[in-house]
Amino acid sequence: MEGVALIGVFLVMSAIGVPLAYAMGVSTLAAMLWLDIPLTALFSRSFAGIDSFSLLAIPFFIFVGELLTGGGMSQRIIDFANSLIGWVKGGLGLVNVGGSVLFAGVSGSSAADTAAIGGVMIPAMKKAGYEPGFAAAVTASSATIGSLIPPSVLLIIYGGISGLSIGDLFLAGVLPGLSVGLALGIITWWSGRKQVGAQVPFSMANVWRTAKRSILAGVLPALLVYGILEGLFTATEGGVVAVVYSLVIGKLVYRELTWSMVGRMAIRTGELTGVLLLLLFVATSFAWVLAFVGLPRLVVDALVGLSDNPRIILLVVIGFLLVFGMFVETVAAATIITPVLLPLGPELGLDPLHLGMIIITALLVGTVTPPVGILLYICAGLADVGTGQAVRAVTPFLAVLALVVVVVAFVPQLTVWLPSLAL
Amino acid sequence: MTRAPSRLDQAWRLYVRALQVTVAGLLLLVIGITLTNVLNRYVDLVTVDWTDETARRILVWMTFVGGALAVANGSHLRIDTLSVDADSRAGKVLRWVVGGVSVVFFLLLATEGLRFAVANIDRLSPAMEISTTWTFASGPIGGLLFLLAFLGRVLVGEPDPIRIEESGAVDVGAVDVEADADVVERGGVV
Repeated sequence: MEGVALIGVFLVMSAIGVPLAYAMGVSTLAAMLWLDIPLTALFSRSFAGIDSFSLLAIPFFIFVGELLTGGGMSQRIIDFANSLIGWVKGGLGLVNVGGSVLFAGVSGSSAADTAAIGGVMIPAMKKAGYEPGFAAAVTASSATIGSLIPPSVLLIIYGGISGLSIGDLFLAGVLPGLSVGLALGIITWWSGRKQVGAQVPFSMANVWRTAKRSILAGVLPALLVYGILEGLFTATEGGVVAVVYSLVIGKLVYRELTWSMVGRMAIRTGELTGVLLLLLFVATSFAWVLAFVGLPRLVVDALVGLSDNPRIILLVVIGFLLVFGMFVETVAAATIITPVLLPLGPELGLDPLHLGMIIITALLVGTVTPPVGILLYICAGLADVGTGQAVRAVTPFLAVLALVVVVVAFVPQLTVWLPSLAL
Repeated sequence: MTRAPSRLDQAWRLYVRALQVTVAGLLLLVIGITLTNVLNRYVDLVTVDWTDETARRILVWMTFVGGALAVANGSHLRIDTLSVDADSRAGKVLRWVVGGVSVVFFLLLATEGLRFAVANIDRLSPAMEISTTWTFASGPIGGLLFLLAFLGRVLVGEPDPIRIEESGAVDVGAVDVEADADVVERGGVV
């Protein structure tokens, strides 16, 4: 009962516009006073939630995303993708998806992916004759890959909440991320080929020229995956290696970064770190109080009681996550729901990494659905179309994203195979 | 004619600037320390028993200084599910309620955080053996920084936005387009 009240107070405060971290903090404090738990326990848990070496990867990878976006990497990646697949009918849509996959390997977030790829590709697609809503839908749905393919700030946060290795989570995200890219590529090509013909002729010389210009972008994800797999560095240390790498590339090789830009990027990184870690700070205590009143056990018992068939339970969980993700921002949704669902893993015989990837892929669908589909709204703004038009255009992409979630859920090898290769 | 900035305007600008410089400085410091840690594995540079703990402590402080900057810029994550006209009576009431809950959160962070920090004054950190209050003081100080940032935003208004200049026109095939740097600012966090 107390758990339901805690979630209820939090949701009401959030619904009226109280920032999520404050709403979570105040509702947790109120619950602790109600339950007569000393408030020192709250601070002790909260500080433990952010006093972690692994979480240093959050500012590092946000900074990397900023440096690469401002340092000219996104244009080079798009040029390379364009030379490879721009000759296909409806190829510009494919370039958009391909660019998102490649950029996901260097940036840590879907928002950075949207900004870097959408800022270039949406106006280009509109000018080439694609429907603006379609351009927005392709960009928004493919930007979700940014949070799956490592590095990923969302996966680092998930690691912070669940206690899983961030290196393992990074490796676990690779194949689901590529699966989303493949599925979206197919539907984008299928829909886009009816709208616009080929934009550029294929030329091996052009592929070679753009490959040479973008090769340094390709080195970074390979370096990260290899370094983590071989045990050369942890995911956090990989973050600092990536910072130095992207600074050197943007400043000395591409010569597009100025020190004043770097300073502003550092300020923005610090601010975003504050936003994310403050949420994690309060979410740790929030989750602890939920566990204290036994809500996770209650939910898991209710779910397990639904059916003897674990597959049906899993489908119910996916359905719930898809709906939950529609209404609650992804980071907040992950911080609330993860501690509640973690005990479900052993009940259903799921590997914790597998359960994590199901939760993350399902919640990410919510970034492109109303009412809080932030990526869709950004793209609708870039494409200069109404939200309604963008929502109609994104509907088939949502079906594909939901299908990938089901595939990730029922093919555990997609998630657990790569981490099993790590030394 | 533009109004000359009042003392309050100047103080607000100075405060936001101080937060920006501090958070950027903390980021660069933690990058340097972690890089030293990585390099030290291959080349013996310094004794590294303090690096892990110091880096973690800086991250905790970054949370609160960066969080205060986010209060000043109004960029903490929120859900806007209720579409209420801000100028309507209901909109004004909601704004007061949201502001009230925010202030309660900042004050609780400051007062209860102070109690917690003081209670741990004799507890030493494992590696550097210094008082953990150096870490836990970030809570109450953070609460005060948040409160000041909130008051500044209410009394003076939103600070000047940070704009990250793009490298200009970009080209896709035969199409020239202008990249929208503003999107980075509107893009949320994840």
